Amino acid sequence: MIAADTREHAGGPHFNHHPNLAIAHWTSIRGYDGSGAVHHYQDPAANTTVLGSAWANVLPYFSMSATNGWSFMTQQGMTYGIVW
Amino acid sequence: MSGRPAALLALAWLLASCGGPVPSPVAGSPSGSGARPATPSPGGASPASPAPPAACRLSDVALAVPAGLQDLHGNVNGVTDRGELLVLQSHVGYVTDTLTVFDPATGASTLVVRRPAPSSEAAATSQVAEAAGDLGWVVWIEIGFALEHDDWRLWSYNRGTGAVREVAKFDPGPDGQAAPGWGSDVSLLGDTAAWSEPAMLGPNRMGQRVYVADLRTGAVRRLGAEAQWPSLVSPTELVAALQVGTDPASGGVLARPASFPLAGGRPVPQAWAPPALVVGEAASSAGTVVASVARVATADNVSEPAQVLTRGADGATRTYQLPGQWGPVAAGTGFLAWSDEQNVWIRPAGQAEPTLLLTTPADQFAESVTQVDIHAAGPYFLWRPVPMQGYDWGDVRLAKVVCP
Repeated sequence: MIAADTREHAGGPHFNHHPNLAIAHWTSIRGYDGSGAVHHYQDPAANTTVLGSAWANVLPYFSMSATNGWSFMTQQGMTYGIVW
Repeated sequence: MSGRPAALLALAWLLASCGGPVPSPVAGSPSGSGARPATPSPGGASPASPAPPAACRLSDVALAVPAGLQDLHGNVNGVTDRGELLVLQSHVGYVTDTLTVFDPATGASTLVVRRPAPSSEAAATSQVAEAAGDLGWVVWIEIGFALEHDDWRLWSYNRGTGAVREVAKFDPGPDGQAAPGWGSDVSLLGDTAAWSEPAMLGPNRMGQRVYVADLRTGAVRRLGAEAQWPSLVSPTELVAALQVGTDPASGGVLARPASFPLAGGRPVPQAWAPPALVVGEAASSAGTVVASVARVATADNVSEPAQVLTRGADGATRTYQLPGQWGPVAAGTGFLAWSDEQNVWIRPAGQAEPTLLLTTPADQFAESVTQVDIHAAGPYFLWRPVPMQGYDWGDVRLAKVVCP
């Protein structure tokens, strides 16, 4: 399991249906395909039945290319936290 | 997106928009690089309108945005019902601190708010976001940067007096913290604003709630129902996605559009839309558009087939399977619009089929990344591709939907 800190910003691309805001967000990479070309994520932003309001507008599990994942982890020329 | 595909798209759109009803939407990738299907497949319409009136059509609005607004990571965050752009800018990094209204018709800019710039991005605690505007008001959300606490505050700007006011703020839990998640766009009609946000309803219990504000008096109501994505469709009614059940497979919310009387009273679910895993909804006098998924992703199957269901003002319902994951939906005066992560469609009132406005070529498309941006207010519709890097003002498109 690898946890990665990602950055998104207003007006830019957003992954997994996140809102059009500047966001600092940790996701975890749970696996990969294609010799690492595609990474599989789980997103703690997904709604949760624990709090009683579980709408489907965020995927609890999603996949993204390694290139784009790395882009979100290195926005603005900076590399954020990666924990494994 | 490079300039050439964008120009070809613009040409295709103009050709499609010149003649009213479009028998077949603009097809194919502008680069011929094998984009996915250009049009979602209609899954049947009912009931068919026997003699549809003349269709509304798109009319391009020229945009010449000053360099001063493009600078400082300038980006369009919304459009008003008069076709003005709501532009956000950042004086430190990507911390949006400035909101300006720009009128393409006159070239005039009006500064709405400029918050003090933080000393650094790391020191920032709030950003300006989620703006909406009309003749009388501009409203926006100010919020932090973490999805685990939706610490929103809604602000208003009176365009007549210039007065700025904090209208509402998040409902915290017992620990003072905001609920996780994020809210909807803000819907404006006259002096009324409506939006939805997650709210803490008690210890370890949250819900999605619709808020309604009278901007003139400052009175704010939080509606009791579990609902999201409100649209003010008349001075007496809003339409929002209302929970009507629970998906047995995922435990997720099953919802359908419902009419909420603004004077109070129980919401009335709209029977034309079956309960579904709704992921987006918008409504206007032109009808309602609902995006939903067939199932919730699991660790073993991340696929979430998505579809859009529309109901026009003529009462006809249509279903479109989306080729990619869902994107934002929008509704304005005389049109409904929707998207997936790669494509944007609009269906002006009276048109039998949607028009494809934008597609991201397959070789530029990134799965699970939102790469289109749409906004609607009144008769205006704005759309653009969202590249993985940078912001291309030349790709921002604005149209007015003109109805006979």
